[in-house]
Order: sequence, then structure tokens, then C-alpha cells
Amino acid sequence: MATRITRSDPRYALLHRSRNLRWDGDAAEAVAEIALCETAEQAAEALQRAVNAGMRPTVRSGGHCYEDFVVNNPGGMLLDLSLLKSDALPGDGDRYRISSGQQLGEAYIDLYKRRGVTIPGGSCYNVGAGGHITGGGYGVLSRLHGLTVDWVSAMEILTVDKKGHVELRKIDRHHDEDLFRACLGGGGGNFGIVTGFLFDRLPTAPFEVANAHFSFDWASMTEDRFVALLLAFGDYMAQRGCERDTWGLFAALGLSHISSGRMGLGLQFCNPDGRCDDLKPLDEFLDRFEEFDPVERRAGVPGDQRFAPRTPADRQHTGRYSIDRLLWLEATIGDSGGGHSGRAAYKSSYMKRNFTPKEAKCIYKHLTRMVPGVDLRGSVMAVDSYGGAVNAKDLAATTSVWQRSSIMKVQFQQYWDRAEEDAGRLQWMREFYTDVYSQEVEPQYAGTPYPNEYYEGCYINYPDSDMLAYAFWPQVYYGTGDLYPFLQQVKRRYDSNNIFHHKMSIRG
Amino acid sequence: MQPDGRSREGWTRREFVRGAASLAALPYLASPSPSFAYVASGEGAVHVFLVLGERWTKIQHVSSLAPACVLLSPSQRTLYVANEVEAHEGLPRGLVETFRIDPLDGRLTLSSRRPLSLSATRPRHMALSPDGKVLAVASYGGGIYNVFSVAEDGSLRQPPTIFKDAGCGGDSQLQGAAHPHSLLFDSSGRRVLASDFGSDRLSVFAVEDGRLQRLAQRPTGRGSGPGATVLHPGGSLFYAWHELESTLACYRYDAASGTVGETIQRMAFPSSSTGALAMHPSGRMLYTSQGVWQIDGGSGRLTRTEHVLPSATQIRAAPDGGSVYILDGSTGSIYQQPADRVTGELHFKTRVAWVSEPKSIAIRTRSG
Repeated sequence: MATRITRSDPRYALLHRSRNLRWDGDAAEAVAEIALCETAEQAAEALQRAVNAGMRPTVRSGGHCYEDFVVNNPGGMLLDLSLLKSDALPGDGDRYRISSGQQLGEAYIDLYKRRGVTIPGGSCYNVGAGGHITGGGYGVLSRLHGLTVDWVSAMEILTVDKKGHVELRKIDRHHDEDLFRACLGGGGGNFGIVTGFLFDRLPTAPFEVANAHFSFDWASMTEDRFVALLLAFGDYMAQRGCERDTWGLFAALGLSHISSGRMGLGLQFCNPDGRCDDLKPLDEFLDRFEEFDPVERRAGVPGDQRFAPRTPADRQHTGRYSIDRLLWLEATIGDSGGGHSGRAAYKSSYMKRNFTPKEAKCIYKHLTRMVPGVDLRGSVMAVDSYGGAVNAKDLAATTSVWQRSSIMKVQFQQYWDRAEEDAGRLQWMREFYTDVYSQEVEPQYAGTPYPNEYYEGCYINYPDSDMLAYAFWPQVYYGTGDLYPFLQQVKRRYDSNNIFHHKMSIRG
Repeated sequence: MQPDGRSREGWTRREFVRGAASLAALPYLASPSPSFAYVASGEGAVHVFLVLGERWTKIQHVSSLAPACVLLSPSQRTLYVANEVEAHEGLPRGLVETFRIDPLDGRLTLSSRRPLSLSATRPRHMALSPDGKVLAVASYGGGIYNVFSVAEDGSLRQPPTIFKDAGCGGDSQLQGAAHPHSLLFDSSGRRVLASDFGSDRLSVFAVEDGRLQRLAQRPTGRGSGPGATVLHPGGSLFYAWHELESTLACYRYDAASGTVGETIQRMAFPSSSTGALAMHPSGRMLYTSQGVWQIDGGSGRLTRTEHVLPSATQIRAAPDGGSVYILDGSTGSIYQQPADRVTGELHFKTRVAWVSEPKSIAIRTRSG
């Protein structure tokens, strides 16, 4: 039986909380019970109890949901899977198993030490596998090996049938194929509770990677130079970055607000064979930024904890640049972040082509705009590399990740501590985002990266409730094709009573 | 047609004679006292009428979001309106509007719009506890009940508690999920009886600390689709209209244990029948779209009277038993029929008003 944590339990004070302190203040919105589940059977029992009692169940694996979809559940039950970490179960055979409660860091270590393989998604150590993978599983090795959902062979999932009975399903390409596909990127909290992922095969983990960190001084950044910097990054991703020998490059341009003083560029690179013998593609990439006076940094990209400081085991100078050449697991597990607990807000977009000068100028305008009384340090527009192996078009039909034509993925992030700052920061961020995504979209979709020749919408694992203001938000997250109708069909079939729901869940 | 344009319809000669003979005995007509009628209209409004006997005068038209059910507080100073919408402020949920009622002229002023919980879409029905402190809302679309705590001034405290239901019925097209249809408090005020169209069942909930806790479930038959319900004032008989199979059933209700027991009677009607129900306060007469029924107080069994009612989306009996109001959704007509306060017998009917798609009515008496 799952461990039941109610308000009278001292552990409730900690366990009912959100990592994002924006969702942490209203006791009236809090769950009545947290069920700590160590096995799928315990989760099934807790879920059945919730259904019988008319409680809304929400699910947490690592607790990194950007929105309040999980913790704000008045009187409901939060099923916490963070203790559900079976490495293997009888019947798994030679398959690799990742349980929903495993943190990505644990999964990296486990897979590497046992089998020398890895999943391509993720970057932050303590992000939970359950939410990460059901939302797509994008990460540092995705250009090289695709998304994690591209590798999943089977899942175990608890669903609630029409009569309200919980059942454990083992789903794959031959069993409940529609549900299986829906869970490969459709997003968590929609259809049931995934308790485990199975993989017939996984990519071999790189032997080593090269990490590098640079920064650019805002003081010397004119609008022209800023525009040129963005276009240089985007041009690489749109052109050279599409060639296979560069797919081992993951780069993130951290465009912080001018009040932060500097902007950052962080990257990880390896050759397609998982080694770093040929660093010419890396040099070639870095050459593009030479004119912007990059300064080598030992610290991470501001606001991007995926590139937190670490001590290199082996520093290597290559051409004009200093890089950290590290064994892959060492580079991946080091202090790789994800533990931030404060107030935060996020937005996202997928970009199919380079920035236009109009977009870049708009970004410059907002990143240099000072708002009286609002501290905008901790505000970052992180432009991540995308594409490569992700853009295998056939995978759009077998998974629920439809964004298979993008070259960059943008994540707007803000981090702060005091509630008094909420209004000013959020307003600036909304105005920034709305303005940027009003440059190259049809007027009726202004304010969103609505799918068109420039954009492929937003990432469901970076959910943003602001987008609910637009009636077409499902198309922004799931595209204008047949994916969303498909997901709705699956919803009606496997969760006809809408037991699993949150603000942005699939509408049946 | 009457000189004032109102019509009297559906009289048999016998009804006319009986009605005429009893006119003088009706205090309602002898001394009409003004009251107010609040009618939810599918066109997105609540209409307010000044009611003087059979003379209805529209005095206000208030915009409302798809009003489906109107309910007066016991003090008659607050009107609650269930808004049958799929989404509110971008989220999948309905809402409840609260209007203040001017004690003198009966006019409405919007005081709040309270969102329901997530998944509480298309709320269609509400019930208020006898003391007015708890408002329960049935959301047909999302299969969920919301319960609000009501403040002294009639306002609703946020957030509501929820009971998320699950279930299905025999009709795969219409009953793929739970669809709470109607609900009412029993006389104790601590229990709620609910019908679930989607799940073919009746439920009894206890209200404890502002939350619903299911005490019992009672299947109504596969594919029956229970809808409108009414509780006999004696507290032990429960009548339900089953929409899908067009049956009217009487169940035994045990208030002490909170269970719906044996089926006392079950009558079938043509499948096109609509299913409005109302009980006369005397407990001696049940009004339905299929006719007017005399109730055997001992057994609960129904005996059809000769009276016929028009097709109705809702029937409501005045709390004092002096009138019955009938909303005809197909024509928009609102009928008023004087009733014998003791026996519940009806007399002639008069079309007193017309509104587009009338959905629900509440009558505020002058004494309120």
C-alpha cells in the first residue's frame, strides 16, 4: 500500500510543495493527500482509492512541472512516484527499464554503468523520467540520437476504464498502439499514470564530450552587433548544423537581460562516434562568434543550469579556444542542475529557420528595456540547438512529437525569489514574448509561434498557461495536422471520464 | 385569446367547469400579491418579471452566460445561476453567477462570477441546502460535482470542493462517461441525492465539512439515463425520470441510512417524452410532462389524473402550493396554472410570458 501523507503528517509540509514557489502559497489549492508509491501496484491501489473517493489524481515523478498542473489540486490526491525506481522487473528480459520515479541523472548512471548506453533526452540531473519522457524527452544528445520517445519500445501505464476501474496496461506497437503513440510525447497527466518505460535498444553513450562556455559583454553590444550575433547562431543551425558531422553539437545561446551584464554561450560536442578526435566542426562553430569578443567562462550560461561550473579533469586547447574534454558520464552527471527552487516562469517556441532581422531587433529591444522598479536579472531567452536526428520525418507519425522540422528551440526563462516581483516580471515577459511572436505570424495568431513557415509552435514540456488565452492553443502545442484530433480520440477511448486532467490536458 | 393578448389553452370542458367553479375559492386570484419570476433563457439572459396574479411584466433583462439553472437563496436575496459553458477564461470549466436581488423592486445586480473546478464543464443543475449554507452544482459535461460554502451574505467561497465521478451506461454514444444530471438535498440538509444520466445510477452523498462523500449508489437499469428527480416532502419517496428509456420511477428512500431502495413503480412512456418533474408542496400531486399524478401517500404509487400538461423543459411548483409554472422550451411559452394549495389539483393554464428557450425558473414571493 502506498504511504499516505495527509495534512497532519509532518512530511506534508514539504511534500505538498511545488519546486516553483509561485504555486506554493495557497493552502486552499493544496492537495488533501500525497500517496508515495514505490511500485506500480501501490500506484494502482492509490489511484483506485482516489477514483472511488471522487478525488482528482495528479501525478509527480520529479516535480519539475513548470505550471501548477500537479500541486494545485484542491482536496485531491497527489500520487508521488519519486520512490518508484525499479531498475528491472521479472519479464523485462534484455530490455532496459526506466521507472517513472527515476531522476534522469540516476537513469544516466544506471544505464551507463550496467550497459554503456544512455537516453538522448534531458540535461538536468533531478528531472523525473515520467514527465520528461511522456512529454517527448528532448535533451543534450537529441541532435545526435533523437528524442527519448524515439527509442521507447513499451510502457506500463495505469488507466481508469469507463466504469472507474483502474487497470495496468502494457502497451507497445502491438498492444493499445494508439495509447502508446499518444504517450510518446503527448504530455503527462492526460491518459493515465505511466509507471515504467522499456527500451529494446538505446544509443551507446558517448565516450567523451567537449564542453565550452563563453560569454559576451552587453556593454559592447549595439543593436547591430546583437542582431549579427543572433543571426550567426541561427545561420549555423539552419545551414552547417544540418550536416551529420555536426549533430554531436548541442549549443545554447543564453540571451539574458542587459541588467545581467553578460550573455552566455554554452555547448557540448562530440563526433558522431562519441569521441572528440576531430574538433574541427567545433572550431568552425566557434569561429562564427569571434567578432563578438567571446570571453571564456568557467561559469555556466546565466540562468541556464545545464552548464553549471565544474572542474575539468582534462583541459584541452584547440585552435584559439579552450574547451573541457571530459568523459561523457563525468560531464553529464557533474553538477548538472535542475535543483533550482524559487519562483520561475517559462515560455517556449520551435524555430524552423534563422531569426529574421525584425525578430532579432525585437528581442534586442526587450532585452535592453529597463522597467522602472522591476529587477530583470535572472531573465534569459535560451536559444537551444535542435534538429539533427530529431528531424527524421517518419517519427512524427509514430510518436506524438510533431516538431520534426525545427532547427532551434527557444525557452524563455525567469528566476526570482520574492513574490512582490511577480507582477512586474511576468508582465515584462508576456510583453516580450507577445511582441517577438507578432513579427512573423498572421495577425489572427499574433502573440504565438503558431505553426507556419517560421515556427512549429511550443513544447508541451515547457507548458505556459498564458497560451490558454488563445482558443487555438492546442494547435500551437500539437500542430495543425491530425495529431490533436488523434490525441482527443485516445483521450475519449482511454480516459472517457477525464479522470486525468489539468489546465492544458487534452480535451476529450 | 384574452383581450390582453394572453391565451388560455388546453382546456377540456370538464376542466373549464371545474376551474370556473373553484375560481372564487382561490385566494391567489382573489387577492393577487406581487412576486417576481426569474427565468433563465438560452439566448444568454435572465429575464426578470413582476408577477401580479396572471399578469407578468418584464422589468429587467440581464445578460448571463448560457444560464441553465436558476436558484433562489432561502432569504430570497440572492439568485444563483449555473452557466452551462464548456470553458471559462480559457479553462475547461463552467461557472456560477451570483446576483443580488433588490428587496423592493426585485431587480438583479451581478455580484460575482465564480469559476467551477477544472473539468466541471456544462453545469446544468444546482441544489441549495435548506439552511442556504451549501450550494451543490452538478456538471453534466465533466462528470463532476462542486460544492460551495455560502457566506452569510449569499456569496460563494472559493474554491469549491469536488467529487469527480466516473462511470458509463448502456448507450455507448450518449453514456460514455458520467454525466451528473440533477441533484437535491434531502430534508436533513446533510445529504444530496443525485442522478447520473451517463452512468445509469442514483447516488446518495453525505455532506461533511463541505465535501461530498458517497454513501450509496443505486443502479437505475442499463441504458435508462436518469434525469430529473424530485423528493417527496415526506422524505421517503424519490421520483426519477429516466430519459433514455422514457420511464418514470418511484423509489423508496431511507433518509436514516441514506440509501435509495426498492422500486415501487415504474411506468413507460413513448420515447419522445420529455422529462420535467415537480412535486406539489402538499406531497399529494406530482406534475410531469406525461401528466399530473396523484400520489398515494402510503405506498408512493402514482395514479394518473385527467389533467394534461404541455410539453415542458421544466415544471416548478410555487413554494406556497398556489401555482405551478411550466416552461415549454419548444415554443418559449411560460404557463402558469393555479393550484389548490391543499390538494395540488390544477386549474386552467394561462400563458403568461414568452422568452426564447426558457430553461429554468425561480419565483420570489413578496414576503421574501
